[in-house]
Amino acid sequence: MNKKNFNSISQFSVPQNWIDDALSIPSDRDKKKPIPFVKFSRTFAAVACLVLVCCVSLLLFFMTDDGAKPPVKETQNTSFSDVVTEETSDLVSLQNSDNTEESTSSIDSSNIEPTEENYGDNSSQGIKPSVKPTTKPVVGPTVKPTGDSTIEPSEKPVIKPTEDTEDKPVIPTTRPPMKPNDPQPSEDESSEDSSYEDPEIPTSKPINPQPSVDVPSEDPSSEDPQIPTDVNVSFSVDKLGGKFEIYCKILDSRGNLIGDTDLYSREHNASMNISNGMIYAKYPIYYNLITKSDYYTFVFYNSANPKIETLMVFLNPIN
Amino acid sequence: MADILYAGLSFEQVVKSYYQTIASVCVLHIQNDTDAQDCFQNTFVKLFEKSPEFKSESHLKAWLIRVAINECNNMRRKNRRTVSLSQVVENSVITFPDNDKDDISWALVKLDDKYRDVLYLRYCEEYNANEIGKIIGKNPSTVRTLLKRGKEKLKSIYGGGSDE
Repeated sequence: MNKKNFNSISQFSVPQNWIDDALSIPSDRDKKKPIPFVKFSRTFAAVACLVLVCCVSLLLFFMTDDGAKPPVKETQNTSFSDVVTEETSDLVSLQNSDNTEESTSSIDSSNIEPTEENYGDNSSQGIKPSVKPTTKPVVGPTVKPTGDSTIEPSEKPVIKPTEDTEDKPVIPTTRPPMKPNDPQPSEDESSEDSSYEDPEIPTSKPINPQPSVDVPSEDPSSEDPQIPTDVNVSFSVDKLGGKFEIYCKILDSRGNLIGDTDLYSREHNASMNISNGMIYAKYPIYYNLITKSDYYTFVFYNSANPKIETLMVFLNPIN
Repeated sequence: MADILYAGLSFEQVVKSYYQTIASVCVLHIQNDTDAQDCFQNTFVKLFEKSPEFKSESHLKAWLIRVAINECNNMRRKNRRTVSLSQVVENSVITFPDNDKDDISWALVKLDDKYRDVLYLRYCEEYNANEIGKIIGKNPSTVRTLLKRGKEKLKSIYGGGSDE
């Protein structure tokens, strides 16, 4: 009786190269020294990507954080107001000093030229208040001989910045540059500021009309002069589009409308005066609507022209 | 690396002592020359890389057989996913000579894995049921059952009688 077997399997003739290859495994493995991080290359790559993303995120965060600091915080000790006009897209710091002379010159709005036609003058004359004031009067109302209470040129320092007046609201004005050799304020002019509600028409044609924010109408010595009460703009009568009415709306820095949603309600109605083909419009600042320190855009418009003039003002209702 | 000993044997001694067993296991599971060689090599690569401690040479041999079976299973699983039928046909297939009519290796490779392993270990490597159970991770009683059923299936394949 033949016994069955598995000889073909159990006595399988192993090729010599199988044995040689197996014997050479130690020498091959010695040559192939393990390279660090190769075994877990994917893991290390993922971790490296994660770390890189975190670093980039942190970097962007800090960079953005630096850039997003509010201007007030940056200029807390030196500036309390900024004015930006959309037409020029220039940020104008209207006050930047602790002494009276510099503050007066910073308020000097002769260097503020929001209109397109005067854009070149801005660059030539300098916008920042730290620039030495020019002796050349530019703003139209400055030539008014009768003494307009709101826009008459005044060489007195309108704003007396003190330490407790930091972060005060904007007081952009259309005042001419103060002469360095004549920094004395005039009392009669400050008293005339109180008559702003019925501003007189300038007798001479203004050279460079521009939007402005009125200074306080009260005597600076009796009231904080840094709180603006009105926003004044001047522009060509052509911009009215034949409609002798003007309104003003206030937008916050995010573009949200402040106040009544009816854009032609009494709340948005602005007063205006016409002189020599120029419109002098005024709109009171309702501080009960201003709830936080921010840049507010005052847009003057009417039914014929939705954007007659725009003025950006930084307001601080706390003060 | 030559200093490492496996149950008192150097790597070279291990290869020379057990290459026949490991090659047989690989050929039994994979009738493909290339893949069988890969499994054969991988078994000794595992031994070299892991360098486990062995209590005895029998322990070493059982470990090598277990690793070889696992490598073959992995290879077949991998080929099932990646290798097309045409590639399999083209590959060199290991054939068994038919000059010995009592050699039923050809029938053994046709059995299912669970029967083939226990039959091979029992009749080629001469392990008992307990040892087979330790190698393949099954109870000795299960191994005995598999042996009994495997023999029956093997007979049905080669058409043999009661003789082994």
